Amino acid sequence: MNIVDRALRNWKLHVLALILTVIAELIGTHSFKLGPASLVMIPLLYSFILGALCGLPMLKLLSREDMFETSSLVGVTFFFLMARYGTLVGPSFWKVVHSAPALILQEFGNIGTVFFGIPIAVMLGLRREAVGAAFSNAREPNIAIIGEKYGMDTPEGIGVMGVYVTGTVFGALFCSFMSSFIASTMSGFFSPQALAMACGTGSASMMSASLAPLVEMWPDLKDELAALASASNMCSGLDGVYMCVFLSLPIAEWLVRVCGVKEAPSRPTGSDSK
Amino acid sequence: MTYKQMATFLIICAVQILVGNWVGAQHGLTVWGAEGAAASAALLQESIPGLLVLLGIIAGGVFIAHIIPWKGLPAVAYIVTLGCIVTIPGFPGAEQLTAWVSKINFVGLCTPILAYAGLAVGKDIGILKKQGWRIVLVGLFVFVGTFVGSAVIAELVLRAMAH
Repeated sequence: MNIVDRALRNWKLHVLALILTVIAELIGTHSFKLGPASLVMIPLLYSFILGALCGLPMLKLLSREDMFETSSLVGVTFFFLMARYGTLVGPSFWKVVHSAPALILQEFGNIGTVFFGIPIAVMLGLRREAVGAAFSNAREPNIAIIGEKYGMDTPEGIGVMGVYVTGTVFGALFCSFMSSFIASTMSGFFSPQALAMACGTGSASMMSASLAPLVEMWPDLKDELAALASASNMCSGLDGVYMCVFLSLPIAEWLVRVCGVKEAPSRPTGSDSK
Repeated sequence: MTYKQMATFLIICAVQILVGNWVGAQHGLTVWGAEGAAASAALLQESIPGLLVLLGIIAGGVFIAHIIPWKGLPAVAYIVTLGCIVTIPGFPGAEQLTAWVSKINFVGLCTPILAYAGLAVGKDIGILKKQGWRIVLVGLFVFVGTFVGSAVIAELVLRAMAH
């Protein structure tokens, strides 16, 4: 019996997920004023935090085996989200096509990541790890790029995996707070449409978590914002990868040298022997 | 994962979504007692067709991924594309499909998904501890950089297009 079979038969996981979902939905959406910013708390944040708390060793609720079994299922849960996101883009399809130039060009925002991230990474004492950590927001396709070019058991590989795991652990929470903060303090400059497109740059759960506060703040634009965020997420999956290979990775390589990291790039094991 | 395992889990997941969506929708209820119970039952009932449509889109997407010989794209890419195509105005039945799926709150859909992600997250804490707080900090800065970078460009392009 493989891990998925064991996970499917592990009723503790499914009952826990159901209980957490019900608790989170009962609490519902709340927003708080924090000085000039407002913080929107949404059910998906509660269910994630409660789920993470269930994993505390002192509770003896979940074993490591349970956690690995759960993670074998997580990929399929996103099928529902992606099906729903597709049906959000469809009805506003022509509006989205009209915004295509903005959707495609905003992928250049990745360069912002590099110019912001590399100097900070080097300042914090990272060396070659900085390239892997700060050339992109480290979603699955970006890991593949680093793995192929440098190998995964190298400083670059450690860097990209570190940010990837940061994303799975803190991504949804952090992106949700960041988006409520930016939307509530800088709505003078940013239109909700531009912010919605920016929501689509991360993983599907980061996108939902950062989109939810926008939908709370502009309920009339709900469908349009969701369509733009989903369309932007689809674009990131396609042209975002090319942007990383041809633009942000070379810039990261150059910038890390400017910042004083002189070590040669790592090479995947086995590539020297050819 | 085999297709049988996938189907089993999709059904488990569908139940979670149905219950979560139903509990979430109760916040909008303003009637109580027997009338409230009837309204609540109606909420549950009207979300079922939408959920079935989503299951259909998923099945279609997985099927397309299965029959296409080029395996460069994951099934989710076909699922999201199919979901988009069948709801474009003008596609046969698009209005009806859109009306059905609109009963499934898209933010609420994430509640059970993130519950599973949360239950699994404990296994990653060890990796984070090993790699240290500096990479975590860089990661958070990277998320800010990507978000703000994209938002600035999107904003400027949208303004340029408005002119």
